[in-house]
Amino acid sequence: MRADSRSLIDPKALLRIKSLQLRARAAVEGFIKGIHRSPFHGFSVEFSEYRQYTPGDDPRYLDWRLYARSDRYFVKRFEDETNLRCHLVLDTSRSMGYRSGEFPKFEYARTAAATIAYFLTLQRDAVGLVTFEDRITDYLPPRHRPGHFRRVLAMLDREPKGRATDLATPLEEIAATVKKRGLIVLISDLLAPADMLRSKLGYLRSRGHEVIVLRTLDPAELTFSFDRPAMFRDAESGRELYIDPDSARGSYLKRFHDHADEVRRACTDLGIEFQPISTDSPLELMLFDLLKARARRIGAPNRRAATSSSRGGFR
Amino acid sequence: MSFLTPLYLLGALAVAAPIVLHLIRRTTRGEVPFSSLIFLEPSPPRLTRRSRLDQWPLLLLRAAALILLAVAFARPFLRETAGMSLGRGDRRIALLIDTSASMKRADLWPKARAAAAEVIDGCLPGDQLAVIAFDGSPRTLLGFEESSKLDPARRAVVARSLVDQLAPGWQATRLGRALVHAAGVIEDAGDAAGDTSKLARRIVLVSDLQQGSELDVLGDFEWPRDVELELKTVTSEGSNAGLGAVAGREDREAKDEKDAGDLRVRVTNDAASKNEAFTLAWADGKGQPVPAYVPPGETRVVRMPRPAGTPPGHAVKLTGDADDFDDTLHLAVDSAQPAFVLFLGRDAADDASGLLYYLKRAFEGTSARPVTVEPVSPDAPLAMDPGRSIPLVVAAAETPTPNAERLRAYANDGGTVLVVLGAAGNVPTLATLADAPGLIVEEGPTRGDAMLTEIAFDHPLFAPFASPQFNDFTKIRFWKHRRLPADKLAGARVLARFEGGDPAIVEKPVGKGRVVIMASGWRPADGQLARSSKFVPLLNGLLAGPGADPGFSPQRLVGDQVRLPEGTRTVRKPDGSSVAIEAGVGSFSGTDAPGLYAAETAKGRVEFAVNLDPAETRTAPMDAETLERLGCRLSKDAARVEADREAMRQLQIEELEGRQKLWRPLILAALAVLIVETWLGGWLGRPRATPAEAHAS
Repeated sequence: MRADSRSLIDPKALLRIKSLQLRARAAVEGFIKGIHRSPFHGFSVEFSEYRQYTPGDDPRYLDWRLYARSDRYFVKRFEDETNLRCHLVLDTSRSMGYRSGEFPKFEYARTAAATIAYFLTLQRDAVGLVTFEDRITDYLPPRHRPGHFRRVLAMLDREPKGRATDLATPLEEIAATVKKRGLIVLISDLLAPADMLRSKLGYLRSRGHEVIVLRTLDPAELTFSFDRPAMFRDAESGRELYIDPDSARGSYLKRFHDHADEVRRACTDLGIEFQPISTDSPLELMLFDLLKARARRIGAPNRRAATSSSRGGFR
Repeated sequence: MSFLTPLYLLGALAVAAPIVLHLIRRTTRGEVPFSSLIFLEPSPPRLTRRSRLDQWPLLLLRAAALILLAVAFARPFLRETAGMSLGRGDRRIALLIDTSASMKRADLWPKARAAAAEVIDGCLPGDQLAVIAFDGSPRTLLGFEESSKLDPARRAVVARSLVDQLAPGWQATRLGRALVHAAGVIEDAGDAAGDTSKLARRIVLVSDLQQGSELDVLGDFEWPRDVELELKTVTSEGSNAGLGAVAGREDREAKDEKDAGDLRVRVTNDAASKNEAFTLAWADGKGQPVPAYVPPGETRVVRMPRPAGTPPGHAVKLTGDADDFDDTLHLAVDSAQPAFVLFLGRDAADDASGLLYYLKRAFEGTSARPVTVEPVSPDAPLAMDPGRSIPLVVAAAETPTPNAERLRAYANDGGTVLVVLGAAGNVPTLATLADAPGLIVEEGPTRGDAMLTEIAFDHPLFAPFASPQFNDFTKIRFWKHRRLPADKLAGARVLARFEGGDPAIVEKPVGKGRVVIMASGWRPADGQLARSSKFVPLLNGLLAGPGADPGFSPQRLVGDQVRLPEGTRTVRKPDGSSVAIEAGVGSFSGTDAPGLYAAETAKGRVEFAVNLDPAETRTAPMDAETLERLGCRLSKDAARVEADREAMRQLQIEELEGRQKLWRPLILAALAVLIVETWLGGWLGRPRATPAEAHAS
């Protein structure tokens, strides 16, 4: 299922590229290259824009060509609208600034956002961007027009102010701001109480949005691989605690996984795709996982996907 | 090596503190930012072997300083053979036996004697013993010095026989004074023996420890630190009530005429008493018994009617309580016959600018003796009824010579004539009275006012004002006075003078009596004397005879020293015996039992009653804590020799340690170690050039 890791771009190498556009391109190209090599590439293609005609459908949308070939009526649903409206929602709070290695989570997250944006732009889909801390800081509505991708990149390039995270308020604001239904990709570390996340993500779902959550985490957060006792300072509240990792690791991991399970369960319950990604994993894998999950949601791959070789699809 | 306070050695455990603190992995190298602490809890500090001790010499020096301090505080000493024997009992014991009236109750005295005997028998051969009895005052029966001369067996016999000879008397319990005396006896014995070693010092008190014991003296006394007080309290089950006479204005306070002659008696019931109903009766059986209801712990005043038509009774008895030692109240014959003061003058009784108006009021409030002021016209012949008691005649106006002669005769017989000089000029009456013919009085200087000076406070007239709080006469101003040539009055004494030296009050003895001359009156026109608080006591002082003792009172307590009327030759005691009073002795101290005493004087017999101290009636036992509150150091355990030995051993050890003072070098050593530690710390901590830098330079 996964592409050969040797063919993937090391995230460290990728993130060393200064230009976000180059990074996105490199990731997407690597991804596409990976698709070619993937034996499962067909699954990642979405193809669901046709459905059988039923009385009452607007005959204007009948696909006559298909009818000519198959003698059956199919409605070419949303031929004009199927261009995806995707909102990339990026968490720029202080906790996203944490890094145990060379790059903070935020760097990885915005590269991921740029990658997705580039990928969708290639597909002629409309991409918008929302960045938030404790409130929405920037909003770029989804468009597909020349130069839009550059604006997305420019917005991503802005240095975050890095105030405290309050996921509740921004999620409420996004639900209120994004009126037209579409895809919302939330890129965040989700370091917030799980029950709160459940209710706020529920807002988005109740508006009819399709939601994908990319949970960006640092490897240190996943393993708590510290070796000496120290005063640990909370990046958001500034609170300090004396922690001896040897004794604290067990309970940390248990709590962390409990929380992750809780979040995952909430997402499953709400019909939200939940993808945890570690900042030391290649970005292409992220794209793979994303497409795979989406394919799983939409349905089995169709013939067109099987025949399509180069175009991945998000729709 | 031993330690006086070995518990301080535990302080050496403080050495562990810096090591443990070092080993606790609390020291952190900086801080680690982390995305969120919501999944973390603070770790408890724990010991780890990985913490390394870098500065061993510093640690050792600090530990050494701590240990030296701990050892110094534990006060080490080197044992030496004690030069003091412990087995023979080295205590100094003062046996204090209560012989107050309350010990007469029930079987208290045999119990007390047994307790005293037990103390005497419990003395070890090495002990020192003194026997002191006390009631109103302490009496040393066997002193330490005397006791030390006797061998132990003989000493016990002597002490027991002394105790056997004792019996409770009638005096009150002055416990405080006795304890102070006993403590003094013990201390004096120590001083006399030149003690360097410390003997265990103990006062053993055998007493009923009644609440009526006087303890005030202890309040000002600093109880010796090493003197212990051991209580051997004897108790009685009985309940007690006592009697006391209520002195004062019974006549004025009587509700009606019928009650006027009643005797008022105060009945006090003890707090622990079981009885409430008592009966009062005259001891001679006259009159009706009077019931008295007094709840426990309270006091009631009961009126006793005096039987009419009989000589007054001399004692009242109370019945109804268990202990009868304090149930009789003795009463002296009431000498308060009505007295008359003759006023020889022309003043109207209601004229507020005259003398009589104030004179009448001055005598109205007299409680001891009803006094009536009788105005007499100076022109009419003066009649002195010999049947009436006339202690004072006030001569405020000139009277014909026959009257003056009569006044002189009256004074000769012991009366007092007060002459108030109203105007300047010839004063024939005074001249006759004072035997100074041709006496002329001048008007005094009229400028300003005058105060009294040179007051003779030693004279009975002014003696009541002698105390500093009463002797301020500066508020009495005189506007006018007459200048009396006192030098012409032979034998006269000037009792007070005006400013400027003119005599103000002069007393001249005349026969058995006297003439008192006031150079200014108490009329408002003359001065402020009538409005002064001194006026009434001054005039009342004149009521008493020339040699009268103002301190004499017919109601006294056992143990009181009674000032006797002048000329007393003998005093007859209640048991019928007589005590001869030497000439010149003015007081009698043999009031050792309650009852009626009689002083035989040339003028006749003066009776005075002596009663038990009312405090002695309060026989409920006192708490030992009361003594502790007043500073007495009560012994925690009753005469435990072992405990004493342990205390002795401890004292010896303290002495040894005090001589050796090993803690001093230890403290010095600790200081030296700290100095070295400071130097070493500084040396180790100073910045050093790296070898490369050193090479470069």
